[in-house]
Amino acid sequence: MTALIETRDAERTFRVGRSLFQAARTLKAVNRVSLSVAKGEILGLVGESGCGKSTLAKMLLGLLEPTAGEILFAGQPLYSIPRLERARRVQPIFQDPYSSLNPRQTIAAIVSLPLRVHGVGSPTEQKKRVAEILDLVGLARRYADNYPNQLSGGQRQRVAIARALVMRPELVICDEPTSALDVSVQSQILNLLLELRKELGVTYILISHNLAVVEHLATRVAVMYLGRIVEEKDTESLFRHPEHPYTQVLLESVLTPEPGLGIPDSQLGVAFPNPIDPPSGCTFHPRCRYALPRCSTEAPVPLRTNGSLVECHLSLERAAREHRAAAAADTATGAAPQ
Amino acid sequence: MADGIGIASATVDDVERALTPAPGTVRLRRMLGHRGFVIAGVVLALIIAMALAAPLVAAHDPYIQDLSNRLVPPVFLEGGSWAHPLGTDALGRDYLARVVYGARISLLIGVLTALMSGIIGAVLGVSAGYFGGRIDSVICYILAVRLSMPVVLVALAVVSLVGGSLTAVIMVMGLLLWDRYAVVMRSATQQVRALDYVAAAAAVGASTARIVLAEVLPNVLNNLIVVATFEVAHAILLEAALSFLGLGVQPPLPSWGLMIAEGREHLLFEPWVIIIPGIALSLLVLAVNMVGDGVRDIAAPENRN
Amino acid sequence: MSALLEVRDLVVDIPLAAGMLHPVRGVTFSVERGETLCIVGESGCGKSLTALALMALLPRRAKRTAAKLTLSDTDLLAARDDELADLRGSRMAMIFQEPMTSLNPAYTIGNQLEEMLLRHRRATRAEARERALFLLEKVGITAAASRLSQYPHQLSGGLRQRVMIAMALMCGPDLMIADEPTTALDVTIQAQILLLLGQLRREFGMGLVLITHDLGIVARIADRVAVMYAGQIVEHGSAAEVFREPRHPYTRGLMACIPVPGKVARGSPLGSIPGMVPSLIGSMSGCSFRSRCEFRRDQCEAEIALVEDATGHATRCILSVDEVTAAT
Repeated sequence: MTALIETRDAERTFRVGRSLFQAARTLKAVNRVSLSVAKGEILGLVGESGCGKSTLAKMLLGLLEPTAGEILFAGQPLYSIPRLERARRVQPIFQDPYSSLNPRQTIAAIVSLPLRVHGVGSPTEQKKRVAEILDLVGLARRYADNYPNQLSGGQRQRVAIARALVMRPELVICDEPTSALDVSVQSQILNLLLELRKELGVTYILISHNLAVVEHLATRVAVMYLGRIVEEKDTESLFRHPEHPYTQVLLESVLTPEPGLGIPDSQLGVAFPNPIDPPSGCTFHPRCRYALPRCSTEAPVPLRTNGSLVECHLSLERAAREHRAAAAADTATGAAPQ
Repeated sequence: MADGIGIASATVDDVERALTPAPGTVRLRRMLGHRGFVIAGVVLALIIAMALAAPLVAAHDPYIQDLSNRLVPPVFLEGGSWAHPLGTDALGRDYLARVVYGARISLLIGVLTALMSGIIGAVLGVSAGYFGGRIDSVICYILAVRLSMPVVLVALAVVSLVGGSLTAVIMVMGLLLWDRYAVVMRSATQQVRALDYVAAAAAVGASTARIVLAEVLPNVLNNLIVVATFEVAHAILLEAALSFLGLGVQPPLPSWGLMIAEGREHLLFEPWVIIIPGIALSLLVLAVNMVGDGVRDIAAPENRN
Repeated sequence: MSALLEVRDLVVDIPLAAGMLHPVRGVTFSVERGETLCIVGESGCGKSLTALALMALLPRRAKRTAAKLTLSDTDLLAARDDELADLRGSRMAMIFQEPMTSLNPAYTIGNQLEEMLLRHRRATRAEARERALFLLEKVGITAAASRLSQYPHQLSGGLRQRVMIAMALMCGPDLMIADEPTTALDVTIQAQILLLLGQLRREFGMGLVLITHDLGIVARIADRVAVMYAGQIVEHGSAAEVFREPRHPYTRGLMACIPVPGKVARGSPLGSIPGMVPSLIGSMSGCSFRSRCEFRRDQCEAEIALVEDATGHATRCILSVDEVTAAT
């Protein structure tokens, strides 16, 4: 299976805090991330605010060039694809439908912007395509001449989805697509996203802090912490067997509507570290309940086993133990017949 | 505790949305409901109409001197007559004609200056706000340099170099009074630029020119219009001051500032010579400023909160 | 013994250009000492305005009326503005969704905490400082002494919310009202803050009114739940009861909307509630949910009362329990 989009050690640093009295410091928002999303997948990207997931999304959209490493789209370097072609194939859906629509333009103008930018069809054809896409996202055509302030949050988000899909992109990057919406509206938008995937065959990258939503939609999940992907697996096994201690804490913090379970005590204790000055070794070690002495000095290397990834000393040690045990068993069984 | 009100009004807005009209309709409705704006707008419209129809309003030519009829008092004072409703000045010129033609000069200067400086300031401010980084630094430096130049002294230098004239006044002010536009447009653009719809347009592949002209500019135009109205008033006042000092419009042109300057010697016995152009100036500036206030209230962007 | 907070027939009306808005239409509930009541509903249902009405913090043009509004034995309806101002912060405290807007950026954390006590209680600066330190530690802030001299912008969102909670606790209030206190926070911080609120409520014997849109939070923290829709409570009961057997079609719809692992198959469509919230402007009659309700009947046009059964589980719906549970 070839990857639709792939990052190889992609990195993005920002220079911050430069002032008269202070030299600029570098903030590694995204730190050597290698990800690969196959066609038709829904990759869920989860992590707390400040973990770099939105920066990564911007890089994947072609709005922010990586400072190191590369991003490949269908095998081609993303940033060598001409702007218009890139825009046709990758589209975003933003979190806040109140700021993602230009208040001075009608719904028809907003949705037809991609068509106009790419010079697709005559004005009448554009009008027809706008009507079609509005049907597809479940927004009555009569809203075409309205302004965004006349629509509800859910309707606005449908407009944003229509704008993203009107050019039939291959990859849609959804940055918290429902977190600004009410519960009953959220379910409608999630249903719509799933339906559109079936109908148009789009691939989604779904960025969300709502793990229940990610579990429901995603086929694979990547967990980010301080610019690194610390665990990546198919949804089923990630939610059933979270390996990284951070993933475990995240999953425990999800409040499912089951009365009587009470509030989980994640014992994370220390606050989120300053990304400008990340902890040494494994960046999660100050908050980790299983931290070993080596975690504070030595950064763990990613451990990849049949399609999943985890970056933790515990997993590395367990793998090493299993390897040794297997080797011992091998020599034992190998020695026996002789 | 202040945000309690915010929460409440957000809830109200939610329910109200179903009844929300389009932004254009909202603006028209607010405009007509704003009493200060309506009154000032009518006064300003009258002054503009008077200036445009100056030959019809004034029976006399503002330049013809009649030394036998010097300092005739206005009709409402003793010794006045309807022949010269506002009297005559020290050279026997009809004062009504001079006030009416003076309105032309004030408005011309106000509008042309605001237009020139508005274009300069908007281009600089939007560029600084949109591109940021080095461009922003350079433009902020230019702004700092401009703010360190006193307008009156620059005008003095220009007048002594090329001589005072209407063109010189407009050029000096037009090239100098762009600072407020630049500051306001820069911060407004920075705000809009950070909004998702600008990112969405970029992600769609829209060119920078298209993003600036179609996505950013319409959403910062309100601020430009508000600043422009206040700057018209500012320019009118500054012209009067420059003309009063002899650095602006030169005689025999009927500028209100110049008329006040010419009337100085008669302040004691014929105070109306100064009071009439003074009232005209105050009325115009007040009307323009009130319209500006109204525009600011009305044009409050719909979705700011 | 009477309840800590008793609210009967609370009504809020707001005159608008388009007519009279009725965001809260006859809300009745009570809160005991040490009890957590969650008011849950979607935006525009009137839950935040209900909270503001309790605190007498409504926008000036809003009109509040109620048949009864008491905090232990104090009649909040009869209280003068200055008496209410004294009550707020000392006996009833409120925390908001965005702590940054409720903290004054120009003063240090310590200063704002101490001011709270000095304003309402006879205390010296040193006593106030001691209490501030005690509470900052209580709400789980490490190095509390050094935090006292910091300004709000120097703290993270989670820390600021903890400071807000400490501030609300300064005078040991009897009642704490929290309006979406964790909505702006990350899930891990959310769990910590909610855990803390629960502990403090037990420890200080406070009544807690928690306003939220998140059914997960409600299930985990509430003793009792009130579900609001279009300005009315449509279902009310113990959390265990309401989650075990939601009876109002709106509550049931709301619960079907959230993906619950194990209950809803991954990638299968979620439940949804068609239609929109009715306009709350002008006069209204009948069940406000009927336009979106699959069980709609002719009787729904008439006004429907909130009927309580023997277990204290109340529903504003004409359907019997069996009819609702059989249908879904």
